Amino acid sequence: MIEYDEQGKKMVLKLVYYGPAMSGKTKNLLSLHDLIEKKGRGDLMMLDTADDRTIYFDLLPFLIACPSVLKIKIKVYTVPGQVKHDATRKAVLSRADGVAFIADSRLAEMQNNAESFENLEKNLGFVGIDIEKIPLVIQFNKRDLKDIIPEEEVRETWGKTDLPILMASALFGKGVTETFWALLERTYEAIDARIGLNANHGLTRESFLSRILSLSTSNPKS
Amino acid sequence: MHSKINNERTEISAVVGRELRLRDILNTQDVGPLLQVLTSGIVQAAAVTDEKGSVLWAKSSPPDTEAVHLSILEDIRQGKTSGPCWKVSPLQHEGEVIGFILLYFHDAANEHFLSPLLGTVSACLSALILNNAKRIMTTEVHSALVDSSFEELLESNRRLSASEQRYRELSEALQSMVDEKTAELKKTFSRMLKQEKLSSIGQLAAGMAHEINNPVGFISSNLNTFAKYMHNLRDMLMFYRGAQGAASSESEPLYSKLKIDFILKDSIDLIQQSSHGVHRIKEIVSNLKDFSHIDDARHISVDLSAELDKALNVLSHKISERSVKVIRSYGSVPQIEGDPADISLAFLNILVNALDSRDRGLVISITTAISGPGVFVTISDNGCGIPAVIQDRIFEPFFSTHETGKGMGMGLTVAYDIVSSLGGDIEVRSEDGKGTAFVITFPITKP
Ligand SMILES: Nc1nc2c(ncn2[C@@H]2O[C@H](COP(=O)(O)OP(=O)(O)OP(=O)(O)O)[C@@H](O)[C@H]2O)c(=O)[nH]1
Ligand SMILES: [Mg+2]
Repeated sequence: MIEYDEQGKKMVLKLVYYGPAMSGKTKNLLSLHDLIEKKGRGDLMMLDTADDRTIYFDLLPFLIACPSVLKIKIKVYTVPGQVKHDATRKAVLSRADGVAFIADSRLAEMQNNAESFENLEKNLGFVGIDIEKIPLVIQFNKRDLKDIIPEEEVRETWGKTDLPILMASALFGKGVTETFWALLERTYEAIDARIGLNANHGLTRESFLSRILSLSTSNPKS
Repeated sequence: MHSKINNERTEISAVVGRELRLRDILNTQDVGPLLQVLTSGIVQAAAVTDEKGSVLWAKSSPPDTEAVHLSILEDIRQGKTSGPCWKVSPLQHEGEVIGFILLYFHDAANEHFLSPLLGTVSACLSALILNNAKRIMTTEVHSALVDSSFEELLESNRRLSASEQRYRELSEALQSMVDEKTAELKKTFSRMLKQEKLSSIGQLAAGMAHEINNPVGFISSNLNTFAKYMHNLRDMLMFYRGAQGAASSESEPLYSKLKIDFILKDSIDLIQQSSHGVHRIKEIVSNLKDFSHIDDARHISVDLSAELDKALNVLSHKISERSVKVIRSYGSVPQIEGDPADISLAFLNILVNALDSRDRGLVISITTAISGPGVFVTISDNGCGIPAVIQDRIFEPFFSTHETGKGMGMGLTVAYDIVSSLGGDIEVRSEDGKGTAFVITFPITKP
């Protein structure tokens, strides 16, 4: 949590899109930005990029006003995936409230996915976050391409964990909101357990999700 | 310094996502000129407030419109966005209203300008806010990076120097371990050699003493008996000569021819000389025995002068052979604790060294004296001297100036080991071509 000011009635949460270079983290945020209604979200801020590759981070902010006076701001970040930007990844990751791990489905990228996930584990440890406790969802992106790992295989490998596994094609806006939805659900649970979003601020899980995901098209769950 | 780094490590100074307020994003240099331009023409007052309606920057002309502002600001706080003669537009950052731009005018005729003007100004400010925010965020990440990479640098530097230190310690330890082991080996070896030498000398002496003492014993007692016999024979002969009457004519020529008078006298002399020789043999054997201290217990009180003499005795043939002049000036020094066999061996080895230092006209002077905390034994010669370059190597095992095969180069090492094992020291003072003095110090044993 970046900020929780009970006097100022403001809470700032941080969600991070993590993953190997070029797996489509920025693309996920771009799609989200297009898919989610303008009301309730800010603009996507992309800090300098070089050849399409994130150098610093991208930021997509959301705002929710609770029935109580509490205002919740959710900042969704992408990290730069390239190995050399590890220090930036740590800075972006620190105080995160939830992580979406964006893997590249292509078979050739499996090694990079594994290394990036190891890097996530290491950096979570570094910034003092317990990987067992932080809301975490896994997305296998680029399902539109060939030579990708079969879904059954993914589910077999990851099924042992109770992490939500989502198939996506950020390029075509598929599975993007589902991933975000799953991450928000888990994040709500975690924050609610900590400060009682429902009990103290009258914010139910449903209204939390629907306030953010008032989609331009339609709610993926409905 | 380190603890500071550690603190920062656990705190993690580099956090992306700090909330920015309008006053963090905009500054007077950005806003001032804009407000200046606005108030110099169309509007009478312009202000930028934070999200709560508190004025951050304001300009008015004439500069006396504060009262108006206050009432307008109250309206803004109530959530109003326009009133008679004024209009505000929200300023956003990350989808959140973080402030307002307020324009105020007196002249109602200008009212239709107000909306487009406000639109332009707020767009301008929004662009400014976006750019500044981006710059701030990038700078934040940058300084976080610089900080963290500086920390990482320090940390890895610390780790590096720690491991370097470990390696250095390790290699130093290794070096000193090797040195230690080498020294130990050398010591053990020289001790072994010394003991070997000692025991072989001892065995030799013991064997000699045994082997020589027996024949010498019976030679000596036979000689005594023989001398008595000779006396008896002579007495008997004289008696017969006298009884025959003075010089029997028959036997007298033979008596003279056989030089019996001379024989009788010389026989006694011969026996006496032989006795002396035997006595000398006995002495030599006993010296050898003394020197090797076959019978002595170790670590007893040792008379240094006696041990010096024993060593000289062992070398006496060499000394007389080369007519070496030995000057002994023994002071009255206390006895020291030690193994007498060892100590005389040490002296012997140094004396051997001195004896080899010159062929003719060699003078060896030996002094013992007491000075301060120790007893000094100085053995000096007028020999060839020891070149300065090798002076500190002469006590090293196997260091020898003799050509290979002539000596082991262990003599002085053994001497040094013996003396240092007693807490003493050997110092060498030498001048090339002029001579050498070995100063052997023994600590005085406390009674
Ligand atoms: N075919 C296909 N291409 C995709 C998909 N998602 C992203 N891409 C492409 O993959 C490339 C990298 O996407 P980005 O979103 O910039 O990747 P990133 O993870 O942000 O990369 P870094 O910023 O370097 O970490 C771009 O050319 C995208 O168009 C997808 O679902 N399918
Ligand atoms: Mg990116």
